[in-house]
Amino acid sequence: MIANKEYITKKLQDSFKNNSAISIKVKSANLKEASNFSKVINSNKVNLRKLIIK
Amino acid sequence: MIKNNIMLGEQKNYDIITLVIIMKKIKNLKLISTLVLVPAGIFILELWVEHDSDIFYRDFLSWILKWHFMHVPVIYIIFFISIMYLIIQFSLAEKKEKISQIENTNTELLNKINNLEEKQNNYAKLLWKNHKELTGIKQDEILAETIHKYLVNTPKVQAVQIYKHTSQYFNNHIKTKINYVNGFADENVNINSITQAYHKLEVIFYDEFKECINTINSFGSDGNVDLDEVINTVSKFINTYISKLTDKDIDDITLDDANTYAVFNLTLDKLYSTIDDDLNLSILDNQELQDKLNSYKVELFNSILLEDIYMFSYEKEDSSQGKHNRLYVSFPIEYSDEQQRLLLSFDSTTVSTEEAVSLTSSLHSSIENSLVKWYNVNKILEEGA
Repeated sequence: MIANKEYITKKLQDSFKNNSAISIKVKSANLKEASNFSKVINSNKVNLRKLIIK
Repeated sequence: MIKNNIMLGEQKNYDIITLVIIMKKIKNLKLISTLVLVPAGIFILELWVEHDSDIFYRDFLSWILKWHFMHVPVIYIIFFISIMYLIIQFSLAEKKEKISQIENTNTELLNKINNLEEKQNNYAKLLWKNHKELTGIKQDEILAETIHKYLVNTPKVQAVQIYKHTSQYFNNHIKTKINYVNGFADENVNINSITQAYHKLEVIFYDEFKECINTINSFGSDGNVDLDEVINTVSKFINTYISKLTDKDIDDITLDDANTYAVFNLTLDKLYSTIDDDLNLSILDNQELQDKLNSYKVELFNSILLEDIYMFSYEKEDSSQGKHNRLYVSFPIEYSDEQQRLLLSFDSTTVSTEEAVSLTSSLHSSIENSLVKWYNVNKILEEGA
């Protein structure tokens, strides 16, 4: 199975189809252009772990 | 040294106990002798007084003198033993006095040792406390110097702020307190900070959120978890709790609701991060409700909930300086037994999201290297001391 944003979005939309209050929409694919956004960075991919100083 | 002294003291105590037992035995012997000898002496004196001296010597003393033991008159033996007894008594009295003095000296010495040990412990504690304080101050200095140096040499970073956070459970809620610790900003940059903020979530809700994150992490790390299973877990979580927001009047929306909404966003962001795709999602059908929930500043709290690297942006109008397009990246740091977060600010018109992550990674490495260097130097100095 190829995991991509369309697949995840489709699956989520299907699971929320009985709840009219929820509407999963992808507003913009380019975060830089989005006015306000938040994004979880995959730390495994950027090699930026929690820094522990004792 | 102190231990040897204590052992010597213990040996002395043992000797003293043995002597005391001997003394008690002698005391008993003395009592028996007194009970026998005194009536015998009084009896002889009575005989002497009641009768003429000649009769006493002839009839009684000669009678006594005729008793022999190994050719020696018994009375002489008794006389000799009495003299010896007196001599022993005098010598024992002297010994007793000396033992008493030794006992007193020993008690004094033990007290002195105890006092010295107590003082030594107090000094050690004080020394350790001071050492820890000095170490903490030095660490603070190194962290501040590293961030400052990084900021001077990296013009694309506008500011770096340090926040600490603590969490507490109360009345089925988990309450997180965020405090500003320190901050460094580039010249001509207006930057605001959150001096203190509180965010709370229901414990049952928070626990389910953590379960979702763990499931997503399992999918991301080993691939053994099926993606459909992960999506189902996330959608079930959102479906269960979304009515907390959608059933509410917009005017009744509070920071607590914004926290709840932030958790949903965070869960979805985390899910999409497994495929590392840039997305800007909207969840709710009601745009007005969504705007109201987005009006609260919960991003720093989001990053704390996530315990991972997190990015967010703000577009803000400033009457004096125009529009600010700011990009923020936050990463966790466990420092001096406190949970902290470093928050880096960038101008989003000049720095891309990828570049911001790369610059954050560079600061992460600089701090780590500076502190590792300091630990090594400190270790060498400690070993040499």
